[in-house]
Amino acid sequence: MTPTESKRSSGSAFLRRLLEPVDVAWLVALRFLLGVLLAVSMQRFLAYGWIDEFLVRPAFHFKYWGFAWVQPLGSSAMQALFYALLVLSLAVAVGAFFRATAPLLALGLSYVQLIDVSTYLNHYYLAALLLWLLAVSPAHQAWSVDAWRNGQNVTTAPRGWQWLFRVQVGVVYFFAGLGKLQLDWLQDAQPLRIWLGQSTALPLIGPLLTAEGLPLVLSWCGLLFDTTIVGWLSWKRTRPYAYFVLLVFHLFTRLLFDIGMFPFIMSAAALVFFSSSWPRALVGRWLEPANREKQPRAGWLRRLGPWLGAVYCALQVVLPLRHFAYGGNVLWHEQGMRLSWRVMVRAKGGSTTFLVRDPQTGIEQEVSTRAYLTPLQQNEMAGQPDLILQMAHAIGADIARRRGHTVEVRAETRVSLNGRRAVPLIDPTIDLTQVRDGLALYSWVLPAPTQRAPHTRPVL
Amino acid sequence: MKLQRTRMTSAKARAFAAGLTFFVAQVAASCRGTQDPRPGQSDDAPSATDDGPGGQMGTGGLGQGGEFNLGGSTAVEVCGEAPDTSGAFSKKALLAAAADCSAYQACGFRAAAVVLERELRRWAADPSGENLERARAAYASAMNEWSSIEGLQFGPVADGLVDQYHGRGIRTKIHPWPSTNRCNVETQISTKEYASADGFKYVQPSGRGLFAIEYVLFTNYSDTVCAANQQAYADWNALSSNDLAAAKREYAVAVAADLVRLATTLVGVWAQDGENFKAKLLAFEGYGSEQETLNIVAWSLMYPEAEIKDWKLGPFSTVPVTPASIGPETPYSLRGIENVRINLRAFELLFWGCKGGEGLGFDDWLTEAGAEDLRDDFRAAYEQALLAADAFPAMQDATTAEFDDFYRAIKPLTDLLKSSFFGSGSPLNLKLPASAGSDTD
Repeated sequence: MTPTESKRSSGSAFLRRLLEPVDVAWLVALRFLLGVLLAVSMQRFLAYGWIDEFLVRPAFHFKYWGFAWVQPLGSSAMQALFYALLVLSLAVAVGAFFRATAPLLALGLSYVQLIDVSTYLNHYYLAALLLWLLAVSPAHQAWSVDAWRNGQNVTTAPRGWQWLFRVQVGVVYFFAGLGKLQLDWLQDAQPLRIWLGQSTALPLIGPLLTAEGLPLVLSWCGLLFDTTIVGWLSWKRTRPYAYFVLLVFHLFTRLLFDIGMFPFIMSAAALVFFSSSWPRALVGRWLEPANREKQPRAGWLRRLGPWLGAVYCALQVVLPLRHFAYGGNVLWHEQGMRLSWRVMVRAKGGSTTFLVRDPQTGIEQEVSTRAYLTPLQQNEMAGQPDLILQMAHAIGADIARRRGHTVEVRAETRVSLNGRRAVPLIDPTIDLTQVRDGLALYSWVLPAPTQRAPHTRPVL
Repeated sequence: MKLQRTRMTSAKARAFAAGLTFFVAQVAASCRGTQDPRPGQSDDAPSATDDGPGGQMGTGGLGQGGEFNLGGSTAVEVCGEAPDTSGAFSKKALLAAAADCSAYQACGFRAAAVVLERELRRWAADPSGENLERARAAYASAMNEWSSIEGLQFGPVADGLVDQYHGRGIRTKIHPWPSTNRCNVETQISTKEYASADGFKYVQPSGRGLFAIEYVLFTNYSDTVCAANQQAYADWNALSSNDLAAAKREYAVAVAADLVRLATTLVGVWAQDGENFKAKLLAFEGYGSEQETLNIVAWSLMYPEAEIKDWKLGPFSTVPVTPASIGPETPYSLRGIENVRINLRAFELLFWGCKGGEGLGFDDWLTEAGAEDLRDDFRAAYEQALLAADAFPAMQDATTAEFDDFYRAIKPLTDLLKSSFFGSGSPLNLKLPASAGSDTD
């Protein structure tokens, strides 16, 4: 066999392995758990008044690059949308009209996230990705309303689906770990030192958090957990113990931080590392045994599927690494920060004063962002250069419209990163109305502070 | 550094009132309008010697102090020295210090409110220039006391928007600024709705409280700003000038009595044998967590950002492109800068400690947390703001350039608050107001 033939042969073997049918039970469990968790997420938005507060009330919305056309609906329509998403979530959970409900839910969730960048959370992004994957998977072909309606319970799915979900969940943990490979985290235990301080009143564990060396120990434990958990979960012998550690880890993050549904979504999603039949150990007596026969698939999809999966996986690996193209400290300039699973690695806030100079009079005045932004938006904008740029453009356009001529807009910023003294983030001499947003390096962002993060202490 | 005490003694208050009265007399003839305290834009005010037409009050009498045995006339005489909140730092101890300080300030305000009611009754019974002056001094004293409490807005005193867990809006009924409304005051004067069996239950905050008393004490309007199609307009114009003056005094007395009632409620909020809100604070009752309790208490420190910089200075400065459309805090007594000076010193009560800057405060938390640099930055920024406030002339005399300079002088303090004390960059993990309820990851 020639080397080319050998490669082709191993490639074919890999493809065969991808398409090999395995028990679909894991995918059904994921469908159910994700559906239920998303229903809870939608309910939280409705119950906490976040729809109006975050999506409707702001007079100005920060847009994702290329998605400036996405606009929020009115208050009533947004409320209705979230009720619809809640119902769709439950429909996905039980596999009802899945080929319609799952894409609609994914679309709705993506739409909600695209309304305003300041609401970006890694776990919303992850939920949307998982949902899009789920929507094109055969997750509804077994133990679902659809299967019951069709009278056909398909009990297997190609192994490639499980691998795809494993890659997706794996990159979250792995890149969350890589994001911690920096001095603030490893040397100064920041921003963990800051965040632990909010939980010192917790019974039993609260006082322990004030122990001098604990933040550093927890920092390193977090790094080791994130970078290695995928390995431990992938190895059959360590899998149950690793999952137990994972549950404890997420329980603690839920207890210590305002981290919303993230721990629950990750705990559910990490189950994809178990064998494909794991749900049978819990509810086996109610489940029809897996039929190992191959499932018929459309020819073109069968050929294209693995390649689409490979492109998707490559994208998931490349996106978190894109910050290397910019150099510098990604926590400071934020180019390559979003969509890269840098979870809980920066405490960054600041104040931003926009200065408007009228070229006709030479007079320079301040613009308060209070008229444009909610407190949450102001807080998020303060540390994110592209949002500051968007705001500067909006202010410039607003005042130019009122005065009938263009104005210059500069930003005086003071930003604190991981407890450091606040320093300027944006070059205050630059007229931001002349700067276009894009993928190029932000030359108008000043260098990151180089001094070490301070040794702050959680206090009782 | 130990900072100047905030509470004015009665002697100081009298001296202040005399000066104020002199000033008011000087500008009274030429000033109209309530939206701008600067010369040429203020309202008519009665002169100190204008004892006005007679008019007897049907209720009350001289020297009445309500149902309280105050044992003195000034806040210090009644409430003693500020509480000593020094001791080892803990977040609970910080909350306790904030509670004790609030209780002390509430006591001071009640004492001032009782004196104010007494002086108003005296003036209502004998509307002489001397009694008017005494009433104005009592108003100034009450306003001083309240200006300290402005910097301690958490718990029942706060509005529901500020403290969503326990805010009952007591503050707005006592000091409705910036939501003041002259017509609502004149409506009460002319219709006497407040004298019904419901009392002040349905009287809008914008037409009562210290604002209403200020209106009566420092203006002598014969016209009303209420619209001609309002009942108040007809009722107002039906009153003779004597009856109108009497009605004003009568309303001022009633408002003062209501202030005493509200102040007593406020004292009861903190009293151990009352609502004992301190215990609730220390148990995080309703707030859910210690951190959220500290968030709410700390938000009082944002007063220099919105209320002082943007609302009290912003409208008269050219620095902001679009200044807040908010009227002056005390448009008739023209004591805007005095309020600001006390507001700034109230910041000190919470940040550095209740006893002249000593005792537990948020500075101690910064120290304990290892953020000494930030603590020192606050000291420098605060002193700069305070120096600017102390050097600032009476607002009605200040030029736009002086307003701009003051605005810029206070900004480093407010920038520090926003960039490093609150928000995602806070070493104390304190959330910015109205942004505490979201998830992070």
